[in-house]
Parts: sequence; C-alpha cells; structure tokens
Amino acid sequence: MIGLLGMAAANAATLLAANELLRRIRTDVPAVDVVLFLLLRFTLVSALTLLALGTGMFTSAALGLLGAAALAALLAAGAHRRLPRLRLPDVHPLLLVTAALLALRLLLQVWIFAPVIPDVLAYHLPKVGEWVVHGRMTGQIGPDLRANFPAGFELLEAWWCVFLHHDVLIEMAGVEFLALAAAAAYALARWVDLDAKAAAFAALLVTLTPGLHLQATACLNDGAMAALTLSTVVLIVHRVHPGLLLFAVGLALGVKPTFAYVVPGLALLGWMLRKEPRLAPPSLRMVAVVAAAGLLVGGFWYARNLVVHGNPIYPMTPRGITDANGAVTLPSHPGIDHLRQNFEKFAGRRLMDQGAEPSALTAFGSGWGAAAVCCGLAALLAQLRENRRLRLLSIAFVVSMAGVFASVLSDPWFLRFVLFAPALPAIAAARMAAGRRSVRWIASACAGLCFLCTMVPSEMPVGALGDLARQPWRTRVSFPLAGLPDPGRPVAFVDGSRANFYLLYGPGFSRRVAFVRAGTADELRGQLRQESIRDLYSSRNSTAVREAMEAGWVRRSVGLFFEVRPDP
Amino acid sequence: MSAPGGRPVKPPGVGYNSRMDDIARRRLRLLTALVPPLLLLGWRLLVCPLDLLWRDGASILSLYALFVVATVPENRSRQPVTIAVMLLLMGVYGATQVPLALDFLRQAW
Repeated sequence: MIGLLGMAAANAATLLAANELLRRIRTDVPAVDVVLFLLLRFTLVSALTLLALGTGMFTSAALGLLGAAALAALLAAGAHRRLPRLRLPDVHPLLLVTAALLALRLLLQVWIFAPVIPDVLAYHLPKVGEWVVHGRMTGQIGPDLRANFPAGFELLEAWWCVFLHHDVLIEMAGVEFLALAAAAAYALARWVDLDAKAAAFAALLVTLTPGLHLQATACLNDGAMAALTLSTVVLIVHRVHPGLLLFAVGLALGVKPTFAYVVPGLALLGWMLRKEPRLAPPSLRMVAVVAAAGLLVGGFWYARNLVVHGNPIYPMTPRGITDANGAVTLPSHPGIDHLRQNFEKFAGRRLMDQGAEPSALTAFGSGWGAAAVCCGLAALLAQLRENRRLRLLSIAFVVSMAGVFASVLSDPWFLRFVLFAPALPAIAAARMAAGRRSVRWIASACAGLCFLCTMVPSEMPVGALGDLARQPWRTRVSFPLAGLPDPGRPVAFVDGSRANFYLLYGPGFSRRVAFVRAGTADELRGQLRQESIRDLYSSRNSTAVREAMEAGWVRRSVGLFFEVRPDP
Repeated sequence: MSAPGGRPVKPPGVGYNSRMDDIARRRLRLLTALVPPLLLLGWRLLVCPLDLLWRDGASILSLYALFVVATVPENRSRQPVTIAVMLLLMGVYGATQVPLALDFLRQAW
C-alpha cells in the first residue's frame, strides 16, 4: 500500500513538474505541446532514476518520500492550477469508445503479461533486476555483452518496478511510449492538413499498428524508438527551436543507438523545410536546460561505455557486433548489399505479413498491419500528388528507411527498426477516410483486423495466456525456470547460459544474483562462503563447477542449477 | 502591375508561354513519377511467378501506383480503382492473417 502511494505521489509530481517545464518551452501548437510534455515526463523520470541509482536511493521509500515532498512543493506553488483543463476531444463517439476499449485492453495486457521474449530476458531486463534488488547501480548489468547497449528505456521500466518491488507493471513503460506515438501521429496528421476528428482516427490507426502495439507490452525498445522518431519528425516539421530537437535526439539515442540510422531522413526533412518560419519558445534559457538534460540522460550510456570499455558504442567493434561464434549480427557500417536485400525482403512477403503471426519482434513479417498496408499505402499513393506535405514526409521516411535497411542485416526481425514508417500510410488512410464514406468503412474494417492481431504476441508459448491469467499476480511468470531456488535465496551465476537470465531475480525481485568469477573449485568455494550462497546457476562445462562436483561438495539439482552440499 | 480591383494583368504572351511550360513540366513530372513503379513492377515480374503476382501486395501496389501516376491528377478517376485496390489488398491480407491470428489466439489460451 505504501508502495502504491509512493508511486502515485512520484508520478503525480513528475507530471506536474513536466507541465511546469512545458510552460517555459511551449510552442502554442497544442498537439506539439502534448508531444513535448510527454518527452519532458520521460526525461524527468529518467534523470530521477539515474540520480537515485547513482546515490543508492533507488528504493520505494526514498523515491516515494521524494515524490511526496516534490508534489507538496508543486501544489504549494500552485502548479495544479496551471494544468490545462481536461475535456473530451471533439471526435466521433464510436472513436472515443474504441480508444477507451483499447486503453482498457492495454491495462489488462500490462497486468497479465510477463516478460517472455528471449532478448528481453537475456540482456534487456537483467540490469533492471540488479537495480531493483540492490537499490543502486552495482556495476553488474548481466552476463550478456548486449546488456551494454544504452538503457534509456530500461530506466522507465525500472521506475515502474521500484515502487511495488515487483515487475507486474513493467510494461507501463512501453504503454507510455505508445501514447507518445499516438500523440506524435496526431500532431503529424494535423500538420499534413487533417482536421481534429480525422487526426484522432489517424492516431488510433497508428496505435493499432500490430508491431508497435505488441512491442508496447513486450518490454522491447523498438516501439519506443519509433515513437521518439515520430516525435522528432513532429518537432522538425513544426520548426521548433534547434535546442528542442537536440533534446529529442539525445533522449532517442539513449533509448536505442539505431536512431542514428534514421537521422539522414530527418536531416533531409529539416533541409526541405528550411525556408519555413521557426516557432520561438518563451524561454531560451529553459530550452538550453532541457536540451542539456536530454543529451545528458541519453549520453550517459555512451559515457559509461567509454569509461568502462574504452568505446562509447561498445560492444560495436570495427567489424560490427558479433555473437558467441564470431558471426556479425549488426554490421558496423552501411552497405548497398544490405539495402538491396532488405528492400527486396520488405517488398516481398514481409510487407503483407504472409506466413507471419502477429509478433512483437515482427518475425518474418513487417508488423505494419492491415490499416497501413491495405488501406494506407493505396491512400498514400493516391494523395501524394495533391498534398506537398505528404510528399515531403514520404521522401523523408523513405530515406530514413533506406538508412536503416543499409545498416542492418536481413534477419527475420529487421523490420522492427522501421516501425515509425507505417504512421505515414495510416495518416493517409485517415485523410482519405475523412472525405469518402467507403474508405472510412474499409479503414474501420482494417482497424478491426489490427485489433485482432494485437491481442497476444506470437512469442507467447502455447497455452501461456491461460497460465498467466490463472497465476496469482505476485508469482506470475511467463514460464517457470526449472530448479529455481525458493524466493529470498541468493544465486551465484558462474558461467554458461545467459538465456532467461532475468528470471533468476523473480517477479518480486526476491533473489540476489552474485556474479562469481572463479577459475578453480577453491576460488569458487571461497567466494560462495564469503557471500553465504548455496545455489549456483552454471554450465557443467565450467572448470570450477566441474572440479567442485568431482570433489563432492557441489551436486547438480535441476537443469542448470547446482547446490552446495552441507558441510559434514 | 494590376487592373482596377487588384486583379493582376498578364503581360502579352506570358499566359501562352506559361501554359506551354505547364504542359512540359507536367509531362516531365509524369515521366519521373512513372519510373519507380515501373522499376518495382519490372522487378516483381522478374522475381515473382506470374500466378502468384495477383496475390502479392507489392505487385498490386506497383500496378496501382502506375495507374495513379499515369492518370490525370483528378481524384474522381482514381477513386473506384483506389477502393478496389484497398479491398483486394484487404482480401489478400485477411486471407492469411485472420486464420493465423485466430489459430494463434486459440493456441495461446
């Protein structure tokens, strides 16, 4: 209960503070200001989480108290009186009902789903487990090299875990970014020339984009990256102060470095619109502060890698990022071959999602969904000649997609990097639907199909949904790790499989994981005694564990788990 | 230079020349616009078996793009074809995705 109160106070404080900051950098274009408000909220949460982690105050009590104090100060200063008045948007009632239904379903998905994607369990979330268990940065972020990637998104996930000391709400981070994608799509649609009703429909279609929607509740950061890309596009087309662009770019680079691949298209868009007048912010000083905050929050991970590994973009090497067998999984530089292969695959079976179930990682498909592909692309082609702004956006998006295609390998999941692109056909579909009843029916039918495709990601194991729903929330996991010790018992990770590593911490972060480096059985015994640990998670090929088994003081329990025999 | 009432007055000959320019520019724009869909369709014909072409979204879209850029820029002539293309794509997409999604939902539960 105290955790819940702390979470409510801290979230209310960040929302009020974001609104106070927004007053000093607002553009007076309401749709753009909503995007800026959400970006400010993410920056505040990220900065607070980083500070709390750095000072060892990343606990429910500390953040809750801090949140309550900040909330009291903001209320005393009258910040609540300066909040914009909430009123229902002027849109079709059916659209409002659909949006409410979608929001309810998202909350249900957040409540029921548990992290399941292998990448998420192997290298995205172990650092969240470390932070929440220890209440600070321990220097350990998980055994997988990819855990060194920038973790701006994980900061928000950790924020949603720390108050309840549980990961039941961890997917809220993705949902917040989905809201950002919807707000950005609305702002873009308004810029193109859509009225409020049509723009709201465009935002709904974007929210229902299967790849984007399923990412939101799967603890993946590609959806967040797409939302930040769309937000940056919104800021570019509205010609905001360059400081605000830096702010968004810094934040995006801190979430995922692949944002750099879309920058050529964004730069081209800025160049094409260079003659349009700029919007002046009320306070240049605050713009500078906000820009610095975005760059600091995003740049933190690169600075950390520079200090720890001597390479800001570690584990990227001149060859690229390699797997355990030395094969390149992400090249270090763009190539025409990649561009050609990826474009061929995209325009081949992937675009129509042929043979691909709806998945968060867009495996073997595009994840663009019926609304963007069936209705949106034809609508976009039909309207390109009559709307200059649609043309400009199309050029920029195609260049950004080319930037991504040239830089990544043709694996089954590469289209998750361009989940920002279906927003444009969705806007075109909404624009055409606004003028033609028949297109409105087709777009609505496509939206229905998207709703069906965004129920459950195909990464869920067979029967997982029923299992998840039947489990009590405190112990809910996607699949149990066989042999996992009881909650509260620490585990030593010695060597071996990094798969499912996050599951070692448990949904309530009840297990401490010690990273043990031991070459011999004696070293292992010494470290285990020092840490008072009796359970090991290791491969049998580990020299130290093998020697310990031969000496008879360690025995295998289940799977990759071993236990230390009690001293005679 | 303007006539009474603020209407601009064209210097002699300007209207004729600008109309010619307009036609030339429109032709050039049409030719440039035709290149990408033609390339895409040519490539689809090369890599996609003919019997599969109608079931392929990229082929349908490239044919449609050809139609769109080749017709005059009035919407009226495009509307029925646009709607037909949307329905065709929806049929193709739905025929594969609906059974897959339903089957997966059943399995996940």
